[in-house]
Formats: sequence, structure tokens, C-alpha cells
Amino acid sequence: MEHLSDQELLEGLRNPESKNYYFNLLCRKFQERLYWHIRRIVLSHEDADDLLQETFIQSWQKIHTFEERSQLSTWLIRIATNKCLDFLKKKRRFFFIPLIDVEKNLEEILEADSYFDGDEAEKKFQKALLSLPEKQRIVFQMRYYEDLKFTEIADILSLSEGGVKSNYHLAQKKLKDFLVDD
Amino acid sequence: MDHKRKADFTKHFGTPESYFEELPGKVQERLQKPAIRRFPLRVPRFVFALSFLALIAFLVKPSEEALIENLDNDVVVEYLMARTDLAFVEESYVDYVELTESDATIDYLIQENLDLNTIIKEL
Repeated sequence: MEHLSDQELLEGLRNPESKNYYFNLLCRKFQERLYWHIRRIVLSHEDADDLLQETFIQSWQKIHTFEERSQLSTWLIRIATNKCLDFLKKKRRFFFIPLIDVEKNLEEILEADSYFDGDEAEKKFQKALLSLPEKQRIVFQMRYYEDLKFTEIADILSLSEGGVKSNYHLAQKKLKDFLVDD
Repeated sequence: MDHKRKADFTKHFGTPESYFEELPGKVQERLQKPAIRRFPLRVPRFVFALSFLALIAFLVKPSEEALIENLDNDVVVEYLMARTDLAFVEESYVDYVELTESDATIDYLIQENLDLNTIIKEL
């Protein structure tokens, strides 16, 4: 099923009789990549799990609007990214929590993540990432961890390519400063 | 997924394989459930804001009795005047108060909970 092309998946999804089957294949093909994309942004597994399911639900509901101007994976990452940004926005708005608290909350999740136990360098890097403004952090993560092209990131975040590049370079510089100062 | 990440994932949430195996089923299950009507979240935010302000105003606004008890007579007169939009009533009432200016009269009116129309009728 991994070898199914976007085109084959889309054809199957557009046919009401096979939509369920191909949707299952779509989930299996992209779930792991999308999971880690979301997890890097929201950090907690429970939130990532919920947002991933919501991403697939939205893709089920909106698949007929997909115009194939980008790859299917790019479209799905865009949905997932928007879900994450909405999630963080809602978290900030919830009971008027100020901006700093959400970042602090993410830092707490990071501290509690046993993956980083004993790996101080990695933890420090993750903390440095959290110190970045949200957009810069997401751009940097997409480029650094997911190896996405600037054009793809621009497409996902609805930014210009130049904007993405400048966000990435600013993020790089800030991370360097943060790690050197620390 | 690197080995350490995988071990950590397994420790908390089961093996990644089983998690990803079950995920499409969970999504299908959610798709088949009827959509939950999230009524409060669909109401525009400004409606919430207005309701909240109205509630605060309601809670903060003192009762008429409390307001009247805590005010001196001049203010009570103004307060009672403000309760009607009939200019001639106000004038008549001012005349009445000026003519009969006594605490006892005003106290009586307040105690009897008379409104301006009743007062005018009594004039």
C-alpha cells in the first residue's frame, strides 16, 4: 500500500464505493509522518493523537476540494499544521492564559518527556527551539527534521518563499545565540 | 523512528506499530459517530462577551431599595425623577417635593414603594 501513488489514492477516494477502503490506505500511508510533524509542534502524545485524528477527519470531509495543485502529503501537512496552530491559539485563549504560559506549558511537557532523560544536549536544543516565535519554530522544524523544501513549507504555511527563508535564517541565528549564551 | 524514540514511545503508549495499526480504525470510528453539537463553541464570541457584561452589570447593580437607603433625599428625588420619561411628571414631582420638602414624606413614598405615576395621582 505504501507504493500507491497520490493519483491512485485520489481516484479511490473519489469513488463513493471505495472511499472507505482508500481512506484507510491514506491513513496508513501518511499517519507516521503526520504524527511526528504534529508531535514536534504540540509535544504531548495525547494532543498529537487527537490532532492527527482530526486531521484525517478533515481530509475525509474535504477531499473533494483538493485541487491537486500540490502533493497530497503537502495538503495533509497543511491541514495538520493549521490544526496545531489553532490548537495552540485556543490554548492561549483558554481562560485568558497569556502567551508565556503556553510556551511554559510546552517546556513542562518537554521536561517530562523521558525521551530526553540523560540527553542534556538534545533537551537544551529542544528548549532553544521553544524559545523561538511560533512561526520560526515551525518553519525550522519542517526544514530541519522533515527536510521539506522552502517552496513546500511556503505552500503549507501560505507564506512567500522569501518569508520562509527569512524565518528559517532568523531561527538559525537565534538558536545559535541561545545555545552559545547558554 | 530511532531506537531510543521507539523504546520511549513503547514505554508510554504501546508499540508504535500497534498504535499506528489501530489509528485508522479509531479515525473511522470517530467518522461514524454523529457529530457532537458543540453549541457553546458555535455561538459568536461577542454574544458571550455581551452576556458576560450583562451578567456583571446585573450582579453589580444594587437593588433599588439598597440604593435608596444609602442616598440622601436630594439624590433620592433625582433618582425617582430619572425613572420616568414624562417631563411634566418630573416637574410636578419637583414642585411637590419642593412644596412638601420633608424627609418623612419621601420616606413614606419610598416605604410604600410608590412609583411616580402613583405619586402624581396622589398629588
